[in-house]
Amino acid sequence: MTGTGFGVQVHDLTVRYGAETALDQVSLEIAPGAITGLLGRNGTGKTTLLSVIAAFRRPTSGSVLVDGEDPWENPRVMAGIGLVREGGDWLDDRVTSSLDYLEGARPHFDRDLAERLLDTFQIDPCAKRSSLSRGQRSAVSASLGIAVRTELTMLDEVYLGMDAPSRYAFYDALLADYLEHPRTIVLSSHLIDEIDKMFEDVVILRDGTVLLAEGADELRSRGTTVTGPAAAATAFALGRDVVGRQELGPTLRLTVFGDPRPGDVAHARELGVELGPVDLQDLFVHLTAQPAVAGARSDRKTEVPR
Amino acid sequence: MTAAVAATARPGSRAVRRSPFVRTIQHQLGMQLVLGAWFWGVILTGVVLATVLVASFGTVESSIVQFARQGTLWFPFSMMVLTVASGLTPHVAAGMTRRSFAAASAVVALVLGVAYAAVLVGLLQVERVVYDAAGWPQTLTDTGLDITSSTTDVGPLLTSLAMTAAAATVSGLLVGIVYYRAGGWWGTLALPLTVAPIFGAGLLVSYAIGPIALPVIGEGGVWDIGSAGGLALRAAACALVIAITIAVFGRLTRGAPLGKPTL
Amino acid sequence: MNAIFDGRDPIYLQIADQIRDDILDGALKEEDQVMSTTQYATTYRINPATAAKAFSELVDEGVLYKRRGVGMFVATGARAALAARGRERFFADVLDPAVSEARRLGIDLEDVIARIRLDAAAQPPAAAPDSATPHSTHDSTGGQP
Repeated sequence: MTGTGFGVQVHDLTVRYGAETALDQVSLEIAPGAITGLLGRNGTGKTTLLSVIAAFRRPTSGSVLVDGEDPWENPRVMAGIGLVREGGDWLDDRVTSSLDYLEGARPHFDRDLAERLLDTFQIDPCAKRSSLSRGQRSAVSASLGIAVRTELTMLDEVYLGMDAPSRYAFYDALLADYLEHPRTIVLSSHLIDEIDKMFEDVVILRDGTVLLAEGADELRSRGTTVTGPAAAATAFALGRDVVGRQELGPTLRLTVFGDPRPGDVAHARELGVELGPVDLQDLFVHLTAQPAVAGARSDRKTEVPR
Repeated sequence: MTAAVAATARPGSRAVRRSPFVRTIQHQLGMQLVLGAWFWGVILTGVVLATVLVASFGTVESSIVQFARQGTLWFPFSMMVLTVASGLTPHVAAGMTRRSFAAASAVVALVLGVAYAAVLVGLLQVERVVYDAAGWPQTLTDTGLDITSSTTDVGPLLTSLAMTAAAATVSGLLVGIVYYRAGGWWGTLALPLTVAPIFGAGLLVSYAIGPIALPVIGEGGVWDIGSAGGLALRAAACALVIAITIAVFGRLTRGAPLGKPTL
Repeated sequence: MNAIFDGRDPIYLQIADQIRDDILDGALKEEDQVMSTTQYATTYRINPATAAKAFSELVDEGVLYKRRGVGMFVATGARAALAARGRERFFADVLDPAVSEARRLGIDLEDVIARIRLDAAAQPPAAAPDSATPHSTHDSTGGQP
């Protein structure tokens, strides 16, 4: 494994399917060698974005650069990009045929690893694709996706149909191999709380645009729950971006989004409200439920008065 | 761990020295070899059985192998349709270019067409030997093989058959990519266009394709089916049809967005 | 180590806190090697960069130091430094909030003081290696011991 992975630069990417716009002027960067989480509600363009990066389809306008080059029909770059889609794009034959196929096609494919992973997931390599259940196919796709060791590895909700033990086995296997052979990894998933600690960076898409793209820890630090008597909580949240609201009797819990301020803890104690963290899953739910654009990074920041 | 594997520094490095183009050809030919063995096995069994039956209960008055002619065209045709339909996605998903897939598939299609034609001609020769020994007439009633009056004229026969079969296989590629890109509806509507190369070849180098008997194109001169010069010219025209079909297929394939994965 | 990294604080802060606690408890002694970022990653299923961030903070504090090619080690004097800092912050971060809580619950502070005296009598004070007088800035309303 040479290098630490391909970086990706997306600039003003627009993708339209006929009248429907799947991605609208998306610009973002994916850091080489990092694990990036790609989050978004269904239909927000995650799969389209990954497809364009993987040269599965072309942009309608805008550009994508992988390792500095346009990936479309680019043999060097394409050989280093692996996109694992739900269902998997491997041969409709025995699993071993796919192992043979990939051995020839992918320069860094580790067949031993693939076979060990298949064993972990209890998949018989001689089984035909048609005889495998949905969860088993996901397991095969996941195994192949890790074993190809592509410099840019993108996994699009590859866990679907897999039970919890299998999913955790997959996360562990992915992380272990990533540590040994660093590469750029993009994980798209709805089960955020299962893998969010693995992210170094996070990209959230909404309605075909980038809602935010930043470090995972940075993002987490920007979410706070404010719990206390209704008046006190509201007072604390004045002038801040409120993205969630929960009434528990006389107590109000507001979820606030924004950079933490120096006097926050003292101010909270003064008002008699309790501050708490918001995990990525909750933050994601709140941010993507908002009707207006909330929490956009510094210069485009808008504060929604409540 | 075998010695061969131990000798290589990285996993997979040995195999990667061959280009995607070459590897894809090898992969596809491997598959077609298996399918072809099955196909010709069935044909051979059928021919032998039919010959035995006809000889036992009646008199053998014509070639029986000739009836395999349609299969010789349409079976590899459909194999090529399947190759594109099921092979393009895994190829690109494995990090190889559409260009290498199109080029490899075109080579395989040509090889396949010629190979199937050659096998059929070979079978006709074997049949001739058997028939001569048994004293049966090897008449060709399927007008499509009337390119020569007897099967002893292997040259023109093979040329005609090979060109038609090659046109069939590359037409299969074209049908395949149109279905792949445009879906069932448009793919079917486009069939008259995508299957046209086969009929074009048929018009040029033989009397008929399928159950449709076409009129002889002109008697005498360059269109005289019997003359060697005429055949050479028409074979060249047929080659042009094949080349154009490959070019269109290539163009459509190199621009193809990947279809959704099968769930 | 009994860590479950929940959503309370950023994980790297939790890791740093845990290491500090382990040093104070004596579970991690000076010149002991700390788990590598890789080990943290695989054990807790987190990104190695997160552990690296925690280490970075601790290195800046002088609690850990890096031996190139080997790993992260507890610095000499780390325990003493942590204890000293902890003592500094004890009154503001632990005692004052406890006093506020007592008030909120309506507990007479004299009762709190009495309880403290009981605890002091029952258990001999733990021998702190380099105990320096804490410089406290608390505003006490209770009596002085």
